Amino acid sequence: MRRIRDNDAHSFLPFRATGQRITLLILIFLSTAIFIVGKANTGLSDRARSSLADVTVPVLDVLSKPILGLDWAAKRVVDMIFVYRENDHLREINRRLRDWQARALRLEQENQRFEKLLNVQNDFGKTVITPRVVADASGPFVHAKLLNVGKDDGIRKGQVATDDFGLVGQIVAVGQRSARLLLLTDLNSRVPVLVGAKQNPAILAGDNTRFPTIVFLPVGVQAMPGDLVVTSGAGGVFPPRLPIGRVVSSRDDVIRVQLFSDSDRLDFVNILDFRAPPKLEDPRSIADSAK
Amino acid sequence: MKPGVLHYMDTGLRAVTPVVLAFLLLVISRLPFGIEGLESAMPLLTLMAWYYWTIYRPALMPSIALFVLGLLQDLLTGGPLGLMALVLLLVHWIVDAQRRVFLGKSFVVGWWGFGLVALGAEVVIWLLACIYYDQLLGVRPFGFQFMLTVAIYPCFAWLFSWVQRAIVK
Repeated sequence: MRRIRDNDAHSFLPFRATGQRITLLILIFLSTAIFIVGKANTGLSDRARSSLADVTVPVLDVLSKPILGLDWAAKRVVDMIFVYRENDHLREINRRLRDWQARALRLEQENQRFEKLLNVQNDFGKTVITPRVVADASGPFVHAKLLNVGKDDGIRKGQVATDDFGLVGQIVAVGQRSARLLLLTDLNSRVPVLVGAKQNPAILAGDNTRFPTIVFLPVGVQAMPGDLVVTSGAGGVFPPRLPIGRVVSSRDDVIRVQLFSDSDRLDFVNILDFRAPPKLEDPRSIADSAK
Repeated sequence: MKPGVLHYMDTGLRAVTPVVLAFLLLVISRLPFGIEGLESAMPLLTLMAWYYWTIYRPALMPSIALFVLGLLQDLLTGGPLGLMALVLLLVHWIVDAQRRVFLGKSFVVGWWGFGLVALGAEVVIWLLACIYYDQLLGVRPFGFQFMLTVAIYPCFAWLFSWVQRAIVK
């Protein structure tokens, strides 16, 4: 005998319950289909994502402001508590930085002289816009952020984002008023880099942990903890010599990198406009650039 | 007396409260909180809403709403499209079949049930994500997310029961 469900007057009608069950099965089937199609054709889901982001970004923009305010207030309170200790600490750092500044200025002059001698064409990309991070588009398998700028602001897919300390990631999808920034820690992030003082070429690959890995180092080359990792510019997507981080460990054949950028406390990012030099193999691009 | 327009509007608004609340939780869970490590282990706030309303007011959390909100969550998180929709519909299916086990029982039983459901959901999410990305993903972030989700469930269960008493009725 069919027992009466508590609390749910509609379920008295058996045909209604059957109807709900059929709807549920159809929807389960539909989600499975969307999942399979999404795997086969990622472009489709990217487009859907960008259009939705366009609609939600203004909402998230407003909602995220009180959080920024709270964050700011909390920081102020902590700052006030530790103001004396912080002051001593800063004085010490300041002394060390003055030393560094003198060395940097000397090296910069020297570098400029060498670059002039060698006629080097440098393009590190200029900051075009500094959008705000309005949403965290992350989960256990995605590390991304949503920005409040899009095509209307001149943002293009493939542009590079940095914070005050180093490379953060790359724009992977752009809507009219929103953009999705893929972080270096994401599973799908791959960046050509140079490792250490010898500038060994390799690839920085995210694996959803906080410390991305170095892969494809040349055979026989070792990466040491403390080695500097910078972009190589190979492939023309990332400007060359942007600071990324330092090698922290190379245990079990896995080399991990501690990033300079701070993705947890990312309020604003700088979007760089960088156009790769035309490829020499392609005669059309030379003709275009000559126009 | 014939009920007026206002009466219909009133009951209508009360009826959509659970879905609207679930949508708000979805948006809130995407805000950049700036807490170290939280972003990859953000608790599944929406799962709590679905679990609670499926047990106490199933008629107000229809499967079509689950489907739409699940897809929205996939679109907002940048995860594989259809994944959360599928997981939440499966959860709905299972919980709906077992809801009389939890109805009228103590809160601890409900919490324990939620723990089981969240564990099952995380395992399915992990499996589907592995299939989607064609590789074995690390289980740690999923584990953290599971623990956080179960740990803060009581706060949200309290919020939902308050909403249920005060607004939905």
